[in-house]
Amino acid sequence: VSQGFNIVCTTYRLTEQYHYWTKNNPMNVQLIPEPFIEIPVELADELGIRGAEKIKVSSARGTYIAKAFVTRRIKPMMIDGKKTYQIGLPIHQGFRGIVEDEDRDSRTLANLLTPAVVDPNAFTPEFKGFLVKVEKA
Amino acid sequence: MSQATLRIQKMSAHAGSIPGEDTQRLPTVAKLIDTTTCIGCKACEVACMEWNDLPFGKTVFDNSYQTMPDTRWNYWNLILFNEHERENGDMMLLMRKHQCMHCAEPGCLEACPQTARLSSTRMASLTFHRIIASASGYCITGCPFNVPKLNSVTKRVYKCTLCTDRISEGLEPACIKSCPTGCLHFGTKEDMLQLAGERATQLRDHFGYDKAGVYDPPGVGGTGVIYVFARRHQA
Repeated sequence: VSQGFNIVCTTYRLTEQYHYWTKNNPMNVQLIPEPFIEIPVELADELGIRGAEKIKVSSARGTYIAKAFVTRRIKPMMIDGKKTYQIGLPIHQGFRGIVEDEDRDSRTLANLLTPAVVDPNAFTPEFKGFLVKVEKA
Repeated sequence: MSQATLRIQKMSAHAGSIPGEDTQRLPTVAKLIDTTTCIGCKACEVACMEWNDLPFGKTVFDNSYQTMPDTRWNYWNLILFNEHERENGDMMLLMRKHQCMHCAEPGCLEACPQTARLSSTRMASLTFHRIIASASGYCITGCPFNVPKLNSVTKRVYKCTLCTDRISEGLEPACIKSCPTGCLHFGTKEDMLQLAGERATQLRDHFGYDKAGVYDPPGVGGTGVIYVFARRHQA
């Protein structure tokens, strides 16, 4: 938090895509054409970001650039009396795919940002909660 | 396509009698779309493209889950996404499947000045005839739901056909088959209206959506697509 990583980020999948494969399938790419990052309306207002503008999300491990999806879906949370924003990052795109190769999009993967921490027994990675900072790209 | 189950009912700009008219009594069919159980997975969009062999088009992310702003000549079935804030502050996505409404008195057909360019079959309330050419484009302006779309290269107009090639063989339309939640139903208009009514009653009595209702516009002689809504303004 002291280094400016003050926003909670979570990663998830979308119904239209499957893992990292379908970014190479024109049908799925037509449904969800580009990577995006869901950010709350309040945070977007604060940073002066409008919908479909490119933003850069960075954690201590890496960066990810994609279009902002300004939504009311993710609401700010009150944690210990402090207003905390959460953003959502679908994992499907990045590196290489149909739109990536056309240079329209992020060339990095969402999991560059996530911590390499696993459950000691099941080895399930902890990708659902980590800290990032958000800026205009 | 089996012609036995697809009788022509109406033709555009046709003065005389319709060949084969009323030789068989066939039921009017309808799609029922229950928007309250739609999860916005877009399976119906994909099924539509796959079955009808529609070519891919380019889309751009525009701050929404919606695939594109409006249907296209090569994209006949589109889920419209709207963000809606409930009274308690929760956000919910309202999703509505948008496609041809299959009117009994279709505005596109009435507007067409070319004989038998468009035809309506009894079973599928309306489908474009095999010749879909339209140099005039009157069918586009004639449609109250803004459905038919022009391919500017071939000068032909396209829209949902209600999968006449499937229903003539006793199958449901591709979108209906693909729905994983069962929010899409297909059958006779009568059955669909009854099912819709039951669902709306259930929503009102058991789920507290006192404005839940059925959308079945009477203006165009009745439509071949009816909706169940949880809220009035969603329509």
